[in-house]
Order: sequence, then C-alpha cells, then structure tokens
Amino acid sequence: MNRSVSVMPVNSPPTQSMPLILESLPDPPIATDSCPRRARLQIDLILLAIEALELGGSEAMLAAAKDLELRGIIKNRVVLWRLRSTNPLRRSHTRRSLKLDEAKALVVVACHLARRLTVVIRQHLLAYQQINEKQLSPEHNFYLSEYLDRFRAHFRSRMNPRRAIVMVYKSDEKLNELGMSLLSQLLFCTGTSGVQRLWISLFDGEVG
Amino acid sequence: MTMRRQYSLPNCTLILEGLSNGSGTTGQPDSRPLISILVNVECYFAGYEKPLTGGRDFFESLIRSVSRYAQEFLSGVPQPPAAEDKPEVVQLQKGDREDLHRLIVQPTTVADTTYAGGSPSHQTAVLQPTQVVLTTVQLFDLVDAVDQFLADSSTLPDLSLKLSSVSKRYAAAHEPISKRVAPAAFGVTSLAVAAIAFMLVPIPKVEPPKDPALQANAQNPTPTPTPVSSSTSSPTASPTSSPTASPTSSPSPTPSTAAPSASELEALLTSVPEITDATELRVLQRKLYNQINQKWENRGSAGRNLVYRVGVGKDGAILAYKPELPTTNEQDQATPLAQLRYINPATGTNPAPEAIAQFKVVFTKRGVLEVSPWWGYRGKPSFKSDLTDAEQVKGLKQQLYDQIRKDWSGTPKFSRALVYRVAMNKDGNITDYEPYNQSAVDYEDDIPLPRLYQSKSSGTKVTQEPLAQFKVVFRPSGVLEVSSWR
Repeated sequence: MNRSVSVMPVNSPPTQSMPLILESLPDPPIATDSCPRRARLQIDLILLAIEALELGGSEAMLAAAKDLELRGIIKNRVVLWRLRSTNPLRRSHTRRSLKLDEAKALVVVACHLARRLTVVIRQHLLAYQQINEKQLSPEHNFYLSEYLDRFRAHFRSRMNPRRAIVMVYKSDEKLNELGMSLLSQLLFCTGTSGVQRLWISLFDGEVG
Repeated sequence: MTMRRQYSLPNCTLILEGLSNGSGTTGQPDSRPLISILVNVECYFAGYEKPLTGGRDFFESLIRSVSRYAQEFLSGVPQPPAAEDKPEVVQLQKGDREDLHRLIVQPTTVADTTYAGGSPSHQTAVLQPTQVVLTTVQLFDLVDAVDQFLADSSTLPDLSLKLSSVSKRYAAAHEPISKRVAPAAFGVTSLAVAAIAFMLVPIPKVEPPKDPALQANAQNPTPTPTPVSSSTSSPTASPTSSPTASPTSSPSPTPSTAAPSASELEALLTSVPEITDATELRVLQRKLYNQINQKWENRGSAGRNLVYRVGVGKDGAILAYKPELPTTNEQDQATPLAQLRYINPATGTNPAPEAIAQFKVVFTKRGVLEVSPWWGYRGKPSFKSDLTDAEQVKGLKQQLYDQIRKDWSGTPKFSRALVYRVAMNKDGNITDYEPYNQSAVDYEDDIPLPRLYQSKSSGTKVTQEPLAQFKVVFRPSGVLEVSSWR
C-alpha cells in the first residue's frame, strides 16, 4: 500500500532487538555473555581463511553483513576490525570482549561467505588430496598455492609474532597446515546446518 | 505404498524408504506426503558399489555418530560417547592418514523390526563389521546429506538436529589442562602435520567394503574353526579365523622400519581366534590403557599422532603391535610399547596365545592416550556377577569394604561422590575396577583402588574366572558404600 515505507530503510532499528537470522543460534550455557578465548580465536582465523580465498574479502564481509541485515552489529569497517581484534593472537589485540551476539553475527557472515565459496573450497581440498597422493607439495597446484601464499601473508602481517602459539607457525609448512585445516573447517560451514554446527563447536569444552 | 526420499551430494547419496502412518501431509495442500515410518535406508558413497543399508537403529546411530564426529572435527575437542548402555551400530574414527576417516558399521544381529511387513531382502545379514574409508570431502557430503534429511520436515519429523557443546568437565578430564586452552585450529592441524609427514608414503588404497567373511574364506580355503579355548569367551565370539588379516583392514604399506613385532602380529592374527566378546574387550581395553598410560613418558615428543594396532592376549599382555604408518625408531621409542611387550623370558619369544584381541592405540600429538577396540564394540559389555553364591558374595563385599576402609581415611578433597565398578575374584583379589563418573576419573589417585588393584592382581586371566562385581561409592563426607553391581 504505502510503498515508501517498504523502500525506506529503517532508520534506527531498536538496538536491543536481535536480528532474526541470529535466532537459530542458541546462547551457550556459559556464565558470561562474552565469548571464550578459543571461540574468538577460531572465528577470526576462519574469516582470515576466507580473506585468503577471496580478494577483497573484508569488503565482502561488510556487504554480507548488510545483506543479512546485521548492520546493527557490524556497522562498518572499524567495528568489524575491532570485533576481529578480540582474537588474542592479533597484533592489534585489545582486552575488549566479544559479545555473544557479535560472535553470532560474525559466524553467520563467515558461513554465508563460505557457502558462496563452496566450489573453490571443494576444488582446493580435492587438489590437496591429489597432491598428497602424488607426494607433491602444495606449490604444485597453482590455485592452492595462491591461497596458501595469501593465507601466510595475512597471518604474518596480523598476528603477534611474540605469542607462543604464533611462534609455532614460523615455518611455511606449519602455516600451510593451518591454512588447510581451516579450509576443511570452512567446508563444513557450507553445509545445510553449517552455521549451527560451527557455532555449537565453538563452545566445546567451555559450557557448564 | 512405500515412498522414497533422496538426499544427494556429489560423493554421498542417502535414500530413505518409508511409509506414511496415514495421518496425512505436513499441512499444505500440495506438499509432499509425510513419511513417518522408516522401512529402509541406503547410503551410497562415490567409489563404493554397495550401499550401507539398515533400518531405523542403523539410521539413528548414523546420525548421532556423524554429528558427533563433525563437531569434533570442527572444534578439535574430544566428544563424549553417546549413552553408555547402547553401543553404536555406526562409528566414525580418525583414519590411518589424518585426512581420512573410518566409518565402521557393526553387523546387526536382529533385523530391524520397524516394519514387520518389510521385504526380507532389505535386511541383508552382515556378519562382520563393514568399513568405509572417507576423505574429508566425502565425510562432509555425508554430514550434509544427514543435515538435509534432518532439515526436511516431511520425512521422519521426529528426528531433528540436536547439537550441544561438550561440557567443561568432560573436556578437562580428557585432555591435559595446559593443552585444553589451545585453540581448535591448532588441534586440527595435527591432521595436516601427519599428512605432510607421510607424503613419502604410498596412499593406502581405498577398497570397497567387501564381505570380510568371503575374504577370509578366500584366504583360508580350509577354515578350520580353531577350537582352542575360544569356548571360554562368550558364544558371540564367533570363530573369526582371520577376517582382520584381510587386505582391506590393513591398507597401510609394511613400514620399512617396522617394529620387530609387526610381522608377528600378522602371523598371530592368522593363527589364533580373535576375541570379540564386548565384556572381555572392555576389560582388556582398560588393562591396556592402564599399562600404557602409566609407562608413557615424553608425551608429545613424536610430533604427530602415532597410531598402532596392538594385539593383546587374554591376560592383557601386549603380544604384538604394528604402526599404522611407518614410524622412525625414535617415534617407536617415544611409546612404551616395546618396553611393555610381553616376551617369554625362557624362550625369548612370544608364547602362542589362545586368542587375541586387537586394539587401536593412539598416542596423540598432544599427549593424550586413546585406546579403542580395533573393530569397535559388538554388543554391550555386561558386568553381571558370575559368583552367585549369596554367602560368598556377602563375604567378599565385607572384605572389599574392609580393604578399602583400611587405606582410606581423612577428609576427602572431592566434593562429589566417586562411583566405581570393582570386580573381585573368589579369593578376594581386585581384578578390575573402572571409574563410572567424572569425579571418579579426576580423583582416582586419592583413593586406594589403584594401589589395591596393582598389589593384588597378578596378571591372571581376566575373564576366565568367575567374578563378583561391586559398586563402590566414596562420598565427600567420608562415607564408603559397597553394594552389588547391577
């Protein structure tokens, strides 16, 4: 009837109301409303792998946040960066906590992008398997090595090398392994219930 | 009339056949009719000709196992087993290489009875566990086929996705505390580490699941049902002469730096019957775990998960073992297997055992020991008392109480009751015990059972003598309770 209403973006969505899309993710039975360390770390690394798969990945994340009506939580580039900086390994790590709703929004965005990248993810994993079978190194597949190059570059430029865990990943081989394991986790995010599965797994060993 | 539903992914197709119970559709006039009774499930994998099939039990177990394994894959945190009282028909385990996964289906003893009028051809009698090796992409396709089914409200709407995170207490008990905070991504990297470390190894050939019984026959044209002492194990211990020695079960190449006992294991497997009784396996599993766990030092020094197939005699002695993938000498030395292996001091060789049980022993990169029956459990371990004389049991109960009481005093440190199952033979020796709740695992060192067990048990053949089974509860108040195990 009143077309202008449907076209107009809602000016100020009430801040408390939770976007519908996050409702499929239950609050885990933990004492606080912020995410445990492993969840913060894991979410950021998953996003890092997406960036290595797709040029302009962080733009895509913002665009996805808009499409999924999560702009109330992921408002802009700076907010996205702050949320990701809750990863304790980051150079830019701050003591800021990651609220459950914020984590849910990041997980939904990650799975949304992963789903769009399904074909690439599967191709890379199949290539990796064939490379292993032929006893070759990942450099033998152009696309796979491109992904791993980018992943290593992202990781090294953003993670604090003084952290013990980051030191473990000094060598290219170790980082490649991390990149591949994140890629197989991304594959699981592409599934029908990938969002729920990833979300619940983030709290393994953390709930009461 | 039966209806079919199909969930297809590139590497996995799930086909369900079922019936409506007549109550109509899901609501919308032109929606698909509701399937509420499951008749048969077929699960096809690319590259495997024959599907895995089964009824409702099989399917529910498939859903649970797939769900659990997927979650562990994502988080790297070990998942608690499903309800203790019911062994899973379908089990998923890490594969020989770490980007491979093993799907094991136990034979169903009784045909599923969800649909009495179902054609008998659906209930193919499988006598041996079936094994399918999946790559990570294939595993994912299976997970997603299951998820598509679970999301489909017009097919068995009573089954839906149920996920929950592993509790803090379970995770704490199953990983060293210091390691527990390590992020999942790093846990899962052990997969990749292994994959790269083994790049020089020929890839295990994935073979379609064949009927192992046929293979056994093919290998062993005259399958003499070795009547050694397999009669002592329960009737379910079928005279499995050597299905496990079939090529499908050991796809890994013979390692160049093979442990000396690798060939012996092969030989043993072909010459003696295998122990398959669930109760016996469970007891041996605990014996093996305790033996290795006590002796395993330099944890995590191998730099990767080391997987061994270990053959164990009826008395729990390690007779032979074989790495799943070639290991270096240093890696073998990092495990206590060589040290624990039983060699007859008189002859310098292994005694010929009466029967052998096979276990998968994993020394994880992170210092956690995992022991499981190689073929999984068939049936439920039962711990009924074999000693039936009421007077005798009563005497043993008192004796057990006194033994523990003598060594256990003072104010307990724990805040929840510790529950154990304790087995005694007629002489009053504690031949086995097992924690039954989380606190019991955590505070095992605070109670006298480990000492009593070690000092009294003399490597006697564990399940050959009749035992009395007790439930022992240590209360935080200092009260000790001993009752018969039921």
